[in-house]
Amino acid sequence: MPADLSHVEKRNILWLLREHGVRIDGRSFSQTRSVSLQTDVLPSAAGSARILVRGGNDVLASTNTELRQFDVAIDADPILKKGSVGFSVEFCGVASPEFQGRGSEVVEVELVSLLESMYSSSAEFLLHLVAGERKLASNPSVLRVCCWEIYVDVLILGASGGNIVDAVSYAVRSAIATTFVPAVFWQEDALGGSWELDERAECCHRLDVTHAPVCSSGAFMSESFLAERIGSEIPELVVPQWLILDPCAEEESLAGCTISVAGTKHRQICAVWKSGAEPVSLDLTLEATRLCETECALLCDEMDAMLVDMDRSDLDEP
Amino acid sequence: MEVDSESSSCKRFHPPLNLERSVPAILPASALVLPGDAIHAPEQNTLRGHGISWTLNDDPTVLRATLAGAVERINKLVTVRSWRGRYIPNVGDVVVGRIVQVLPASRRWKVDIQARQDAVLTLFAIRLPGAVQRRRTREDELNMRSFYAEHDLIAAEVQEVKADGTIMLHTRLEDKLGKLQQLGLFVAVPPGLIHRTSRAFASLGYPRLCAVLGVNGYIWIYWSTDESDSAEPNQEQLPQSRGVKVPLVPALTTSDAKAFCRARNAVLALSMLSFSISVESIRYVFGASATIEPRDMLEPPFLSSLQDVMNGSS
Repeated sequence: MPADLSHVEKRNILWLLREHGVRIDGRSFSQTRSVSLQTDVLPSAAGSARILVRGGNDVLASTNTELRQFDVAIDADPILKKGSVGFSVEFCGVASPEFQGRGSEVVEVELVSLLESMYSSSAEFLLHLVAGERKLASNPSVLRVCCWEIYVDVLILGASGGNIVDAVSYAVRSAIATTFVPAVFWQEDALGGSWELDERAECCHRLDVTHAPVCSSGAFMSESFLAERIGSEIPELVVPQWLILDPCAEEESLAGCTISVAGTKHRQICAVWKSGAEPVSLDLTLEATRLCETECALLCDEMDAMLVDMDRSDLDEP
Repeated sequence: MEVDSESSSCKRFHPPLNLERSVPAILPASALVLPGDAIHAPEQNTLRGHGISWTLNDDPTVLRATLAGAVERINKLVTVRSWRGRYIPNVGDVVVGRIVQVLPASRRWKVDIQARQDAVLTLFAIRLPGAVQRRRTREDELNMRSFYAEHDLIAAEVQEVKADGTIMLHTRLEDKLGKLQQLGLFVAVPPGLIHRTSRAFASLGYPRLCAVLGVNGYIWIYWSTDESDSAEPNQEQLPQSRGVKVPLVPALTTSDAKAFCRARNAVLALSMLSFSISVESIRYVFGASATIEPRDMLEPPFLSSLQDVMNGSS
């Protein structure tokens, strides 16, 4: 929820950017904030994670899993054999008065559609959700596929830090990464057979998030707001001058527009999302996308390293 | 202050900060309570104020807290002040507020001061330009937006808290009260972290870098213009501002700009660790962080070392 700034504050932020190349918290243009990550916060969910970004972003994500089976032709395109991910995003009304009422519904819908487009276009991730496949004895030309369906519930407890999109995507990815699923095997019986679960601890494994995307956002800052104050002049098209990654709330409220890029560890772009009205030239957009894409790959690597570290320390403790 | 150089290497994801140790550092441990904690009140006829629960069946010398926060005792009145709550105004407090609404019809501004309701600043409670005392005319009413417009930040003093809770502000007394129009930035912290002192306006120990510490948890860090022209800020037209009248930007170097960010991050670091915020503590963190870049001040290595040092010193 971006704050409204006074004229002096806006000028100060732009002055720091223009004259000294620093942002108000001292970061350089392409530096992102550090993120506190906590996993397995909800024991009742299959996987959960909580993300805290300084400035007030607080996102809780949890996953629930379900098995789904369907039949495909044996020579069908392997792309048809895939799992699915569903999302729900909610701003917690109890957490902050600004989330009460229906004001945040638009943002919720936007975030859900962004997450859906991110994950539905990362085909490799969805392929890894297939739990097993089996030729049917009754009909040899059909393959029965069993796959995981993941439902991710995102609860936003605080959004005053700006750049809520990235925080949500971190939370979703780390919640999926900590999801434990049991082994699935085919049990023949008199009626043909069915999928069974093996829930012994040694047979459970975590979901593979190697190909899961994460989001990285940048904001285009320009001095166009200074032109607004002059009533008589027709405001000319102002070319955005600076791209900053991971904008904080103050910067977000001043930004002409923001661009969010969802990418994977292997530098595949899954979704690009622009919000804000200000036009941006094609070259700048491409440059920004490239920068965000690199950032996404770094983010994925760092997050995976962190999750491995946490797993290891969990094992050491008992 | 020693910051572990290895752990400060750029690591974006980190486990949550362990803030448990910092709690006793705000106040002596006896003065801090959680809901349900016992508060000893050995005197006779204690007055039980906000955040206190007591029933007839209880031991008369033991009160129970219903809030998490600091115990305040004023003579026989015992209250608990929650440190994450909203600002409770007192007459005479200097606060920093943001104009929410301009209401020319009723000749008043509504000001957000992080209290339970918006404060009211009437047209009669401001200093008109030129510092002349005169009747407010119809023209002044029409020009209200030119004094303070929406989103503008002001420094004001609490003039009166009415019986129904309405908070009246004024900006009359000092030169320093009124619109904050120097080059500066705004930080909001929980109001409980700021102690009531007589010095709301203070220099931060760096040339020309000053701060207004609003008791309500709003802080304005700014570059003061020279002392000589404090009465009428120097107006100069900047080429970038395209005709908008703005105060002169002092000639500042990049290291000045970094000091600016450092001051902001010092306040935020204190607030993240729930340490009390005063001019002294900001100056201390400002000095202690001199060896690192301002951008690393809100990262875990610095915060945890700061926490250790502050806990040790208190």
